Amino acid sequence: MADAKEAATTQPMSTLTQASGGRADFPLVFERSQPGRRAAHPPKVGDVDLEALLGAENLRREAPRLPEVSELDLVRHYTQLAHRQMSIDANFYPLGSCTMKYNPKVNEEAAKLFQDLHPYQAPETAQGALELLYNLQHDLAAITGMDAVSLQPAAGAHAELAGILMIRAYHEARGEGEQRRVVLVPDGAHGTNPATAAMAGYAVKEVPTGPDGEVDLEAFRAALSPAVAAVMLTNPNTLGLFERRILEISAAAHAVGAQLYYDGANLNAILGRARPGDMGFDVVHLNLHKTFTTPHGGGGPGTGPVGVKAHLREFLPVPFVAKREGEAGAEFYLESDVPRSIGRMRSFYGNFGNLVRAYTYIRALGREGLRDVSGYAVMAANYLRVRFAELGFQVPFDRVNMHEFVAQPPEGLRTLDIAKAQLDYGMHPATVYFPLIVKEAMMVEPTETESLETLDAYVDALAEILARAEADDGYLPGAPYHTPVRRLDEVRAARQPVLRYGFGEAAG
Amino acid sequence: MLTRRHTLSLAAAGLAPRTEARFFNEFVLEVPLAPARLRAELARRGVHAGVAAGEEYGLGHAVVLAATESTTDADIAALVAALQDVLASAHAEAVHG
Repeated sequence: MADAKEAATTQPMSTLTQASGGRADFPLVFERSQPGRRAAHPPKVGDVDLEALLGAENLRREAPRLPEVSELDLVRHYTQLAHRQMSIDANFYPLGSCTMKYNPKVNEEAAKLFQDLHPYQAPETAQGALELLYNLQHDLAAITGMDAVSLQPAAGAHAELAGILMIRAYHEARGEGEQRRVVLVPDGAHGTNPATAAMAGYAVKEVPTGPDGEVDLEAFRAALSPAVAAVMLTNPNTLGLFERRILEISAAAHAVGAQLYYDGANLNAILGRARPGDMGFDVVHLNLHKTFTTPHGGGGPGTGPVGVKAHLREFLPVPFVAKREGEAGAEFYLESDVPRSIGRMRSFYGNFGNLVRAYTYIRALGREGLRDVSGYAVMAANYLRVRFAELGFQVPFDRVNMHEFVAQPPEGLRTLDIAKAQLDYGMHPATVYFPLIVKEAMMVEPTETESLETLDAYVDALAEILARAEADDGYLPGAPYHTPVRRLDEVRAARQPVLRYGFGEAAG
Repeated sequence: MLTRRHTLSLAAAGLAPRTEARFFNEFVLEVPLAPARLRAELARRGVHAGVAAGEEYGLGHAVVLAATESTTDADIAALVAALQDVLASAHAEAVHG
């Protein structure tokens, strides 16, 4: 075989490289600036005595140093920048535990319908918006098997905090606040779980995973005591495996008075088929930016509704949307008069635009459609697990998985290198080195929105990467070859970020 | 910008900002009726304006008004007309019981 590095450079260019030619030295918009060049020429302001209006001391003496570019240069600059990124709209994105599924464009149209509403508008003049929130609270409660939902939290971790604060308020109201100081978290948990528990003032105790990849029930029972305030779990867990003993786990937790918290990051696996409420969970959070197709990550903001069983309803954040009979029939209002509420989690009513998007998704799919989501998501993940094994990847818990699975590269290869090599194929890597309990972990979640052709193209790319690695020891450590920037010094990027443009002057 | 030019329009309606100080995008206006009622009456006239400042800042019957670069002179004129109408009704109510 010809030199693999050379072969790599003859690959068709990915969308990443088409716009930029793979250049690392993409100029800043400031560096494209030419004095006097303009993108727009707004009409001149009429005769206004700015000094009298604003005060002489508030007027600029010098023009601000803004980039001066033509409209075309401006459009090309940002369009090309956008093409230097990975995105759902452009790339396969099997980032495990993140549920990077397609965000339907109709969601955006629906969100636009509300763009003229103001959050301070009187509730009686925004009844449609409140009705939508009310219906969404109801739908999410029905989907999760809970009794009440708050739409306020701005992310999954934020919702975790709201949930654990409600559990704390519940124990305090029962006079057990001092007694219950511990939160149990499995060793495979998302890192936010122990962080949340610590933020809420609890000690965190880790529960080991058993040889079958599920919570070790005996160790779990041994960790339970009247000092335990809550148990935080996700089901399926971060290995993509359904916790088959979940009913025994919840019964044991409740027997010592602990509350059960469901981390909803993996809800896509069971949507429409199983409900955390029926498994015995007392609090559930949802990531609308994962399961319910609202924008994710940099395209955010995130949205993390939190649902509770009836006994925790009185601790929900305020305000939430409620319904009552008014003079002119049913009316929706913002309920704030909840004396035992944990209070506000954020300004206004949550990320409203994303709540509209999620509601649109639910209404567009309906009950059967939501059920199909989990069916196709699980099928796609299992298909990839089998194809991965055929390629020589190791699958540490090789049984039917849910919406994602964890694999390890063939002996001697590093997960990070394979992840970097995938970038040359225009594919985002899987989640790497998580969960922590599997060495060299690759956590793969294809989601239901990818076609069989895309899944096959992914497997073909991995097969080619493995073949090149075998033919040339230098190939993988050198990858990626075609991206705008190649291997980054991640530590230096985090510790010495350059955040200011110096206009060619000495930094300072 | 709801600038001083606009507050002059409000003065025509017999209303004045609470302070003489310069402001940025919003200012506090004292009104002779409950802010909640003012809001409802303005909304009935097609204007959504006035965040109650009384409760939060201990200012009594006061509302915060704001405008952006997209607020036109015609918008300001409509607000002033609606305010005048609401205040006239409230005054008539007070006089005639």
